[in-house]
Amino acid sequence: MMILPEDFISYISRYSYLIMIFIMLQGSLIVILFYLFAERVVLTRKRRLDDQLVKQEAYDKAVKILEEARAASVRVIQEAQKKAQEIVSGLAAVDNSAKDSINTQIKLLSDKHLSTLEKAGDAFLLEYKQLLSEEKDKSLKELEETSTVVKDELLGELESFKDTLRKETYDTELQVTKKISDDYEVVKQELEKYKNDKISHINDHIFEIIAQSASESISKSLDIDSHQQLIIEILEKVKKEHSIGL
Amino acid sequence: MNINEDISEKILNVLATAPRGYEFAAELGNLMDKQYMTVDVDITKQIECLNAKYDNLLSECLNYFGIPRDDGNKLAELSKSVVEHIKSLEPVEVTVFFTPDMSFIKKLRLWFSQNLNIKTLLKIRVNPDILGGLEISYKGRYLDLSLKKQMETYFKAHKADVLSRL
Repeated sequence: MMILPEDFISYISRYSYLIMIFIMLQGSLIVILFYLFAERVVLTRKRRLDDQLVKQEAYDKAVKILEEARAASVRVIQEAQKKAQEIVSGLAAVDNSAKDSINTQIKLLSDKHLSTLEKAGDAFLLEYKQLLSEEKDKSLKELEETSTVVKDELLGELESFKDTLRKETYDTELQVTKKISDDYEVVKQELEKYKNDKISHINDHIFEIIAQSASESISKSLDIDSHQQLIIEILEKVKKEHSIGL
Repeated sequence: MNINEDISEKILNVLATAPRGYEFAAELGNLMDKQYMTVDVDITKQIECLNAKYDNLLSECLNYFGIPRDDGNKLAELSKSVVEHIKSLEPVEVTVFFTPDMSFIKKLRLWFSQNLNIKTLLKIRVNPDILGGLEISYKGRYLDLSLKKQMETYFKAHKADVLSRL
């Protein structure tokens, strides 16, 4: 197992909060993007379904209206037939066979009208159904195309986002690396300066101790006569150098 | 009575230090005061006592000026002049490492007199901190010739050499 250098571990621990924030940020953005994509798809489907429902309601309504119209037409024709038959029955100048013939013609005419009405209604319904079916197929196709377009669009945006994120992550990583490196250099220089200052201070202290110890040793090694002689020698030397300013 | 250089040197040679000089002046003053007391005082005996303490200094002074011992007036005049002369001297303050004996003090005083023409008494102080040598202070001027100062100067000049040997 590879043992990581202590410096690396300390830097990682020092900037671990930054790395954690990055990872959390990336995860959050991906989740948000996915949610947006799903919401958009769901919205589109819902819109199409609503359209379909509306169209279905319209179709049902149209069929109902058609039925009502047909029923009303049938009622009108039947009433007309009934009225015609009543009129014919009421005719005194016409004999029964003629009345029967007229009634039969009227019935045939009514049936023909009914049949025509029915055929027209059926044809209309069929045509309407066909139109609705075509519309439905068209909507389904559009829905599929929209889903594909939306999907492609969102995938494109996701890719673009990933590229941007990758680039920014890389840039940020470079910045963090540079900052770590700069901070390291600053700390290194400060440590070097501190070390040198401490060594210099210790050297000065050692030097003072040495100087004092040497001086005291020399002083104590001399007897009284030597000290007296030293005084006279010092005075003679200073007099020779003309540095007595008394 | 004029205390010239000759007699002054004799006085300084015997007394050497300022405290001893002031002591001599005080005792000489007392002696003269006793002259005028009503009770008979043996002046000669008093003079001998002083001589014994101060190496016949008073006798030397009397002999130098040719004053007989029983001439009270001239003796008083001489005493007054000597006392005034001693009090007028500004002593040289010398600080040393050890407690010197009188012979060394006299030797030192003589050196100052002969080499620097400083004809005065010495005030000796003892300070173990100077480690050796001496410090001189005279008429507001100060000179540090101590061993401590010399060692400091030496080590300062050779600091790099000393540290390189560590």
